[in-house]
Amino acid sequence: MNTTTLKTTMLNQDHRNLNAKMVNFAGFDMPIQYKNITSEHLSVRENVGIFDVSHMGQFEVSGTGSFAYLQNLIPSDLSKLIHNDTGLYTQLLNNNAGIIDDLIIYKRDFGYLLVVNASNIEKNWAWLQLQLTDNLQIVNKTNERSLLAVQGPKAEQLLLDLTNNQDLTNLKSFGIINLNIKGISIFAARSGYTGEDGFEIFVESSKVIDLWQILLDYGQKYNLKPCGLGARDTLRIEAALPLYGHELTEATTPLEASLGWCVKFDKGNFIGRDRLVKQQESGLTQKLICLKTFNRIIPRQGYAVVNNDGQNVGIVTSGTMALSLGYPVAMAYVKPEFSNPDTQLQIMIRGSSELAQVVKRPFYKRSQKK
Amino acid sequence: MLNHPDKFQYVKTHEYVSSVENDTVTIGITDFAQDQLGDVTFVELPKIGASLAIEKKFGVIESVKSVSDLFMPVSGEIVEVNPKLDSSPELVNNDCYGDGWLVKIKLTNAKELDNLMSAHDYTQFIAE
Repeated sequence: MNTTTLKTTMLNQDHRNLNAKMVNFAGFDMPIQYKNITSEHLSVRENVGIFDVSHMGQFEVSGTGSFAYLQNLIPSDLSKLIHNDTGLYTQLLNNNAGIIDDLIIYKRDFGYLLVVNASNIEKNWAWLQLQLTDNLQIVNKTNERSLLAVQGPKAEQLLLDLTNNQDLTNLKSFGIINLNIKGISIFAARSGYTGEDGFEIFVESSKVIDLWQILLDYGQKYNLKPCGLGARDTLRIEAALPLYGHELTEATTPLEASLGWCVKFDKGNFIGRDRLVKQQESGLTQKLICLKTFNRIIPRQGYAVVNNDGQNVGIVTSGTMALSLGYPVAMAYVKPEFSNPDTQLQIMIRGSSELAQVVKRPFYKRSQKK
Repeated sequence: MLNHPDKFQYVKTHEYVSSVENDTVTIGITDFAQDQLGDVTFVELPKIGASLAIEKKFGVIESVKSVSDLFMPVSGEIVEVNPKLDSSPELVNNDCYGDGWLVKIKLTNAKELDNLMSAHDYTQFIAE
């Protein structure tokens, strides 16, 4: 692999200094693991872990036209964000209600901050330009602002230690707070991609190396571990969080992807609405489900799902060993008649069929919720 | 640092072969292989008594990241499979040359040993 052609985050050398194994992820040279995936995964479930997610895209939309513009691009109701520094998870849809990307939109004093997948930065940018309306401005902030995810049950205490800002304890899910960490101005959102409580910390890229080191140093007390994309994937699968390119593609709609809770038909028109109305009326042809298997063999993306008669009824989109649960789990699209919990199915793995059972989502749920 | 002990012989498919005792050798995967695979979650091994030729697939090793076939470095009959790997596949990561061994085989063509790589040659091979 020729790493010279890959993009890097500001922390590339820091990852290498920690002996991270680096991989090409969406054109970025990123750590897949530092020590091993299991210990990193468990550190997030039990204590706290830190991820460099600076490869994710950040766009800022401002101007009087921004609300109407964004409201038209997403199935969620943006008017739900009444106050500044609140946010929501949603998707950009194409005309056929296919998912262009999933993203978080935060309302801020200047307008809206969009956090998008690294793999879709250019595609999103092109789509946003294509849909441009009057009185708005879009800026790509990806390079100048970095992003660190601090995730796990000890994440809040770590940030409290560093900021002494008690408002952190009341910060709601997808809420944003401005903080000062040892002289570095940051803002943090209560969000993440692990199924645990945690924060995503936005910081000027020129300060991220210092901030990373501060978090590693002060995190030692809580057994904080740097975590790579490997653990990020096993954690998000246990939490049954979809990943673009796996569960979400331009060929899948939010209704199929179990994201119906994001779709607000009563908010008025939006791109893709007609198709979603039709799907709602005529029923879905595929549904995203959660499956568990009973041996230690891992179902992986692309494996066929068959019914007890051996007929093909679906396909696996993600699978892993659920490291906190001890058995393999997968997400898959299947025909709706096979989507009810407790349904028995088979997954074809290297020529043999492996018993699988439909289970309620998510596989893993933390006990307390903020 | 990856460790490839001088006392073993190696093949390009990243299995090692121990020295011979009573016509029998122990086979496992190398430190390089376990490091590439990462967290091993499952090892599928052949039945005792199976007779397998050199380069034939004898099992599957699965990690969180990926899945790989295992290949016979020499021909032989399976006389023992590591019983601990069923419940503790992570032994392959923790101790690939010790408790994380895979199978013991009775050699059917000891001359094949002459063609295996030394630790030195294997270290050069993986550096390429």
